[in-house]
Amino acid sequence: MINSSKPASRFLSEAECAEIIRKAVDIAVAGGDTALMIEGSWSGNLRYARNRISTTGDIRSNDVVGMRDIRGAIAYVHSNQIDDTELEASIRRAERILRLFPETGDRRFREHFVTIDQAGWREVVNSDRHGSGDTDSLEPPALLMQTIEPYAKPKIFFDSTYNVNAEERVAKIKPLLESARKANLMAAGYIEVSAHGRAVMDTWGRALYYPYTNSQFSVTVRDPEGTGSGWAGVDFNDWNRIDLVRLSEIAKDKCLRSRNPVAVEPGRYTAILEPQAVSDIFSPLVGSLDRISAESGRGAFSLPDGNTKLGLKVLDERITVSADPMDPDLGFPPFSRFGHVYNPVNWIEHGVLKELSYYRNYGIQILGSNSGLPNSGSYRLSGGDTNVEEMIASTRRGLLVTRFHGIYRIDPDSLLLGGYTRDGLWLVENGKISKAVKNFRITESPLFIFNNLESLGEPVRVFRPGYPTVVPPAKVRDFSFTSLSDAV
Amino acid sequence: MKGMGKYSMRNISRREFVGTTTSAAAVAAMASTLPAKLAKAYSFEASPYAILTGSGTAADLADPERMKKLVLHAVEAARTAGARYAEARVTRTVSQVFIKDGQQFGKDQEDLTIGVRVLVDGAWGFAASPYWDLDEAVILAKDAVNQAKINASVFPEEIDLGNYPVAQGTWSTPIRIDPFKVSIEEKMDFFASFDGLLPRHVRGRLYELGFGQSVSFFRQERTVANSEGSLFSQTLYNCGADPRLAVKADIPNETRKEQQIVYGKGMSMAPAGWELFLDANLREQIPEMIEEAESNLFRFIPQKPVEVGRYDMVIAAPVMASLISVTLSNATQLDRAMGFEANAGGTSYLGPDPMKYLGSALGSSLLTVHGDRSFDKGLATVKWDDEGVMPEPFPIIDKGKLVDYQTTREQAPWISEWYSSNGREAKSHGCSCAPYADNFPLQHAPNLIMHPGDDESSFSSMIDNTENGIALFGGRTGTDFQSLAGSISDTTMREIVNGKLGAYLVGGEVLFTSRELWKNLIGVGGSKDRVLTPRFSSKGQPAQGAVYSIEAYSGMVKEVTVVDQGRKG
Repeated sequence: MINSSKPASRFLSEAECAEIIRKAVDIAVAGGDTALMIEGSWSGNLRYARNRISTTGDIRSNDVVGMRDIRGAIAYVHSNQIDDTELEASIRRAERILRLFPETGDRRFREHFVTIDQAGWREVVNSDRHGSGDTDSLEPPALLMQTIEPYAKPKIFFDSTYNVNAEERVAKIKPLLESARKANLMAAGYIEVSAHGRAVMDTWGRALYYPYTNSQFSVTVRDPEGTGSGWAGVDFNDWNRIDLVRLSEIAKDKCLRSRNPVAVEPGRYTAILEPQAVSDIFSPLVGSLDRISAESGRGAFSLPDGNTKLGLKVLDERITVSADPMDPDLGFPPFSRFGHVYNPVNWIEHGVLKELSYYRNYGIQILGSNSGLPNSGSYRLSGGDTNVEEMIASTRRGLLVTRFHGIYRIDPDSLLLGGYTRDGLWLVENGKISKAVKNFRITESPLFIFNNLESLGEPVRVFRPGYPTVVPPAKVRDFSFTSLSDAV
Repeated sequence: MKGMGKYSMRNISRREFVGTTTSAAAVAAMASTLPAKLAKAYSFEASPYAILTGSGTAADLADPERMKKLVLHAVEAARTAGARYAEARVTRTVSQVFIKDGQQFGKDQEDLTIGVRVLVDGAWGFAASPYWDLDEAVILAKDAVNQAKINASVFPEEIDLGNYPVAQGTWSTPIRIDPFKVSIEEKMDFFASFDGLLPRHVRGRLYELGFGQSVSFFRQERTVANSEGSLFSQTLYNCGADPRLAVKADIPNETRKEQQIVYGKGMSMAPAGWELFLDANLREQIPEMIEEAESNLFRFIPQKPVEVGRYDMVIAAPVMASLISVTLSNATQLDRAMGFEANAGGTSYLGPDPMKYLGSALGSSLLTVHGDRSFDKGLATVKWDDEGVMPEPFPIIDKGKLVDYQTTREQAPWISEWYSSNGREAKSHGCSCAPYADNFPLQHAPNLIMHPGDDESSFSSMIDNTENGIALFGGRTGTDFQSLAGSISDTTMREIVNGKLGAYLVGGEVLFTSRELWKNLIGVGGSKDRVLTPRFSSKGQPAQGAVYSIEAYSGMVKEVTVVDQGRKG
C-alpha cells in the first residue's frame, strides 16, 4: 500500500502519482473528467559569497494542478498538498469553481484509464468511477485532443545528480573558496542539484510520467574594491558534466582582466558575443516563435492580413534553430507540465522560418495533423567553424561581451531589446584585446544582429536553468551599445 | 450523471443566494435540496463558508495549535541534534486571482510549507518541505543540522545574532472582512456591477471600466518558533486591483488622442481585506473619472517628437515611487552592497564597503527616506520579522545623507563600527523575511517612506513655476545590476512652456544615474500628491520574492537627460 501523504523517496514516483490520481478520481463527484498535473521535486543547494558559505538548503516540494471538466466547463486549482484531506479540498474547489464557467459541451470522455510503456499503449485500469448508469448518453469524442501521443524517451535522469548530498556540495566548493582567498579575490557562487518527477494523469487516458534531474553551477569573482567582475556558469542534467574548477578559473581570469575599465564612446561596434551573451540576446527570439500570435498580427513573425513569415528568410542563412528532447546536449523532459508533447523541430532552417509553435488542438483543428508543436523554450543554435580567439584575431575594432543582464523587450514587433553588458567587456583593437571597458546599456534586436553575422563558433551548453540551451559564440557587425554604465 | 449545470447556482438568483445563505443552517437547508452526491460536494468539512467561497477549507484558518506544535517540535529536534540556534516556520498561503477585469475566475491556490533553519558552529543549515507532520518536523530539523555541521567544516565565521526580546503572541494585518469569506460570485458581481454606471448612448463615444490585468486576494498564516523562546503567529493579508476608465472616441481623428484613460483611487494592492474594494467608493469616483476623461478626449492636445537634450523635469509621484524603488531599495540592502547577491541580481553602488558611504551625501538635502515595517499601510508590514524582531521606523537617507542600510540580526553587526561611532547599538531593523516557509530567510525591502516637501508645493504648482521643461506622468523604470545607471522608457510626458502644459512629447526616454538624479532634486511635492504604491522585489538563489510599499511625492529634478527611445548607437 502506497502512503500517498508523503513520497517514499525525495520526490513522487510514478506509482505514487498514479495512486494520487486514482484517489482524485474517486473523490470527484458529478461525473466529467479529472486530471492532475504533478511536479514533485527535491533540490539541494549551496550558496557562497565573500569566500564563505552563506546559505544552503534541502527542499522538497510539490506543485499539483488539479483539473475538473464537466461538459466542457473546466476549472483548475493549484496546491502543493497530496494527502487525502487536502486532495479532497482541491477537487471540491475545482468542482466549485467550474460552476462559474459555461459548459461548452465537449465530450472528450474515455471510459478507460491507460498508461504507456516502451511497447506502446497499455490499458491498466478499467474505470467505473461514476456508477451513475447513464454512460449511454456519452457520445464518442469528436476530437481526441487529449489522448496519448507517443513521446521521446531522453536520458535525463542521472544518479550522479540525485546522489549529490551536502557533503559532496561542500567538498566541491572548498577548493574554490581556498583558491579565491589565496588570490585575494571575492567569490560568490551557487550550486543546485535537483530531481523531479513530472506526471500528467487523467481520465481522458493519459498517464504520463517522466523523471529527470537538473544541476547548475554559476560563479562570480570580484576584486575586493569592486573594480572588476568575472562570471561563468552552466547547467546540465548530469552533474558530472559540470567542471566547477574550470568555471571558477574562467570567472577569476575575467575578474582580473576586467579591473579598472575605461570608458569608450557609445555607438555601433562589431561585437564578439561569447556563447552566454548569444543565449541572453537570442532566447527572447525563440520565446516569441508563436503561431497564433503571428497569425493575429502580433510579434516579429507576423505579416499583414493574418499572414506569417513562415517560409521566409528571417535570419542569416548560417542560422538553424532546432529543439529535440533527444539531443544529448539539450535533454529536456519530453512533455510539458500540462502534457503537451515536445516533438523534434527545426524552427529556423538556414535562416528560413520553418515552424511556429502551436498546441495540439490547433494542429488538429486547423492543420489537420495529429500533433502539436509546443515550444519548450530549449533550443540549439547551429555553429560555424571558427572560435572566439579567431574572431578576436580577425577584428580591427570591436567589443568582446561576456554576457548581458536584465534583458527586456522594448518593441515586440521588431524584437528590440534593452539591457546591460555585465561581468567582463573588452575592447578589441587590431586583432587583440586592448583594454577592459566600462559596461554599456544596449538597445538591439536579435533579428538585426543575426542578419549582420560575420562568423559563428562551436555551439556549447550555456547557463539557462530550466531551459537547456546550446549556442555558439558569434561575431556580429554594428551592434548597438547605446549609453555608458559605470556599474561593475 | 446529468452534470452540475442543472443544480448550479447559476439557476438561483445569485444576489438572493448570497444575501440569505450566510449561516450554516441556511447552507444545510440548501444542501438538503440537492442530490446526495452534490450535497457531499457542497458541505466539505462542515464549513458554513465552503459553499459560499468554494475554496475548500480556504475560508477557514488553519488550526493554530497544530502550527505551534509543528514549529516547537522542529526547534526542539534541532536543539537535540546539536543546533546552537534553531528557528522553525510554517506558512499556509491561500490566494485567488480574477482576470478579465475581475469578471472571470483566474487562479486559486493553497500551499502549506514547513522550514527549519539552524546555526551550528558558524554555519547555517536549512531544510523544508510541504508536509505538515511531526515526524517530518524532526526529519527536517536533523537534515538542517546535518547540513550546518558539514558547512561548518569550511571557513566558518562567527555569526552574532545579538540579543533581542523574546517574541510571543499573535498578530494579523488589520482587516475587517476576510476576502476568502466572500463568495467568488459576490466578488465577480461586485466588479461587474459598475458597468451600469457608465453612459451607454453617447454618440461617438465608448465607455469602458476595467480593473487591470488581475484582481488578487492573498492570505498567509505563519507561525515561527525559535530556540530563544520566541513563538509567534501572524496572518498577513493583501489584495488589490487597478481600476481604470477608458473613454474612446469612435471618430478617427489623427490630431486628437482617440482614447483617454483615467485611473480610480483606493484599490491598488494594499494590506487589507475585502473592505478595500468597498471603502474605495469607486461608484462615487466614476462621475469625476468620466468628466476628466471626456474633457481631455475632446481637448486638442498636439503631439510632437521629443527633442534630445537636458531638461528641468517635474515628475509625478508614482514615477518618483518607481525611482526610489530602483535607485534606493536594492541599493541600501546591506547584503547586496557587501556582495552577497553578486552572483544573482547584482551588487550596489553603495558597496562593497558600506563604511565608505555611511554618513556621506547621496543626494540633495530635500531627499529623506526611511524604512518601516511597522507602517500600518505597508505591504511589508508585520509585528515581528522572521527572526522575531519587532521592526521600528529607521532613517536610511536623512536630508540627502546615507545614514543606514536595511538589515537583519546577522547583518546589523557588520556595520557596528558605524553604529558605535553614533552612540547606537548594532540592532536589526527587522528586515528578515522568508516569503514562504520553504525559503531561507533573507533580508528583504521594508516599506520605504519618502518625506514630503512643504504643503504649498505640488505637481501642478511645480509646473506653474517652471518656465521651460518637461512634465513626466509615467514610464517604465529600470536600472543596471548595481542600481547605478538607469532609464525611464515608454514615457508619457508633456512639455512645459511658461508654466503651462503643452504638447505631448512622443518617443522620449529618460537616462539617469542614481547619484546625479538625487543630487539634482530641487523640489518635493507636499502631502496632496502622496501616493502609496505596491512593489515586488526578488533576490537570492533559489530566487524568492517579497512585496513592500513605497510612499512618495512628486518631485522636480533639474538637468535630466532625455533621449530618443528608438535610437540605436
